[in-house]
Amino acid sequence: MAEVVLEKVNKIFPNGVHAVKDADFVIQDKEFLVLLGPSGCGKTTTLRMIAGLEDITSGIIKIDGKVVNDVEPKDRDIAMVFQNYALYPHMTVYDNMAFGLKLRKTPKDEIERRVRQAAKILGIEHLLDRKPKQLSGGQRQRVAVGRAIVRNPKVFLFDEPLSNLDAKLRVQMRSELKKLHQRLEATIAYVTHDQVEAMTMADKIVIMHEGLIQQVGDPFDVYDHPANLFVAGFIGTPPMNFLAARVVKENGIWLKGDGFSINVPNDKAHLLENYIGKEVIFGVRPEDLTEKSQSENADETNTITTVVDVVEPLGSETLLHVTVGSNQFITAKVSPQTRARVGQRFDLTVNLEMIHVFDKETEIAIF
Amino acid sequence: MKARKKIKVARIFLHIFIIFMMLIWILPTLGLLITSFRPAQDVAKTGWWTVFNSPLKFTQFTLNNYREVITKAGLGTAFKNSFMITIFGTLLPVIIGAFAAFGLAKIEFKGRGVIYSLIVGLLVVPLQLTFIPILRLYNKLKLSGTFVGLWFAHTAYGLPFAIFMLHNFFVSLPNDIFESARIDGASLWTSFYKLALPLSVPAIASLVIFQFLWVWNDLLVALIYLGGTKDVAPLTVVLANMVGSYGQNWHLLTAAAFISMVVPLIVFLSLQKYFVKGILAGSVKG
Repeated sequence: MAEVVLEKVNKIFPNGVHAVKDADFVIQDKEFLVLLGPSGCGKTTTLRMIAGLEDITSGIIKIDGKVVNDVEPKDRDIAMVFQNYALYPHMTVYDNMAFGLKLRKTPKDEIERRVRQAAKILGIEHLLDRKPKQLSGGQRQRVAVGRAIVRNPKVFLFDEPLSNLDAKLRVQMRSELKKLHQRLEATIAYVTHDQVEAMTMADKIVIMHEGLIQQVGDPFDVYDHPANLFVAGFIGTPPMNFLAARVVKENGIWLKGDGFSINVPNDKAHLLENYIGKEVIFGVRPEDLTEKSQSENADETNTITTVVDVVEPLGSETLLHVTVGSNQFITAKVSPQTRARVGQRFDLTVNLEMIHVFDKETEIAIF
Repeated sequence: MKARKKIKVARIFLHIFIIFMMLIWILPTLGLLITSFRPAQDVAKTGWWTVFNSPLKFTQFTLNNYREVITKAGLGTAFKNSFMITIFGTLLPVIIGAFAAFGLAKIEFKGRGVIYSLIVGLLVVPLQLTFIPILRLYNKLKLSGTFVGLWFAHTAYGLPFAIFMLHNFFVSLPNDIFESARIDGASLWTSFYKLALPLSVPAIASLVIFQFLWVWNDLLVALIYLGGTKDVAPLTVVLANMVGSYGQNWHLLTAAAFISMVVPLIVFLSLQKYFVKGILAGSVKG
């Protein structure tokens, strides 16, 4: 197993599209790294550059300490699982898995041993004689993973491998892949646009947007301390609420906006010293808003008065879509016992420890 | 209930219409077949449909036409020549076309769009335009009157369509498969013969049928480049000469035509099973 290093990697396509800009990150040995971002953000291009399927315009890619910029995909000792599985339709599952080994002139008994072993790990031993078209989506997915495992590569690359599966199977495969990672102790780069997948599976998340890396960090890091407005809005369902606010100094530092006034806790107030009198963006996650009656320390420093628009009971929790001030909509995740009724005034308490403030110009997080 | 009845009635009419069209379509061939089994004097006197006056009277049929054609008209050599011409006139363009189409479809290089457009553009060039310059070249190279010359001609005439057809098929094969093979360690050649070829059996089979029929039935190209010499003339040339040399004896022509039809029929029927849809089903999620 090995470490993958990207240094200032750029990709400009012949049509002029600058798909990846100065990508700079490290996948540690045995690390599960997820490249996350909306479609078109350059995450798949980044993965394909690591695989060698895409030339890089500038920069350096190293695998296991060796620069691989000009190394053919087959000589990089990687295996890739494609979004569409990319199984060879005219070959049996066994031949699909054995194909790469045969091309590398692995002895026959060794191929047999490795294929059987991988099939056993993935629970597809009974499918070895079937053709891909006789398999279900989940089974095909397993075969595609099996094809990667038998090669015993230094690095595994996954390109949105679960996006074609139904919701239930996706959850199941998610945990299976996670288990597999622990079992194989493999170095993995995994591309997805699904932030739940990223949060649940990753050791480290690289969030990309329009070709630029927005933030690199572990799941809690990117969730609790988003580096900018994009990351804050992209991670989390429902997404973080944003409200335009002005920083005001009177008996401490306050964030004041249309229909709300929040007192910034002392440990963070000093970060806003330079912003006094200026416009900022105030962000708070739906789960950091509680019903005032349920909150023990609700007072005028941390309460927002709203009007309830929609109540969405989800069973374990209830989502409230509410209006703040004249025309700002936010979402709160409250307990299912809430007394909120549509059209009523409703007070929400903000967990001041978990508030975020962003520079309005640069969109970078102040805290 | 009513709607269903309506559909049923419409279906019956549709079937009657289709059967009617098929009858019209098959009528000339049927006439040819019946004529080929009638004695020369009957053919000269009455139309083929008169056999239906007494269809069970088997004495009105004869195998003499076939016997005469096979033994006297030199069809044996013509058959052999036709095979020689057709086998290589089919294999060469299909093989070269497959290489070219794969390259144009799956290898990225500058100008491939232009090259492909030029090749497709050649489809509209009438082959008659090429006869004189090529024949002059062949005479210089001493290729006229040889099978090799004819193979090259058929290859050149067949390639644009072969490349066009196979290119369209190769383009539809998902790139993921080839990229996956590349990571697995497959060279371009391995990708071609281990993946592209097995996956395109239906396309290649239909191309083989097209090209085989075209070369087998070709009279013009063979006549131009081979001439009418007996030892190289294919079936079509011999058949055409029959009308000329035997004049009114066209009962022989009908029998000869049927003999020449046997081979294309066998080729078609034996390759037909490869026209299976969905050989790709299951490789990638659609």
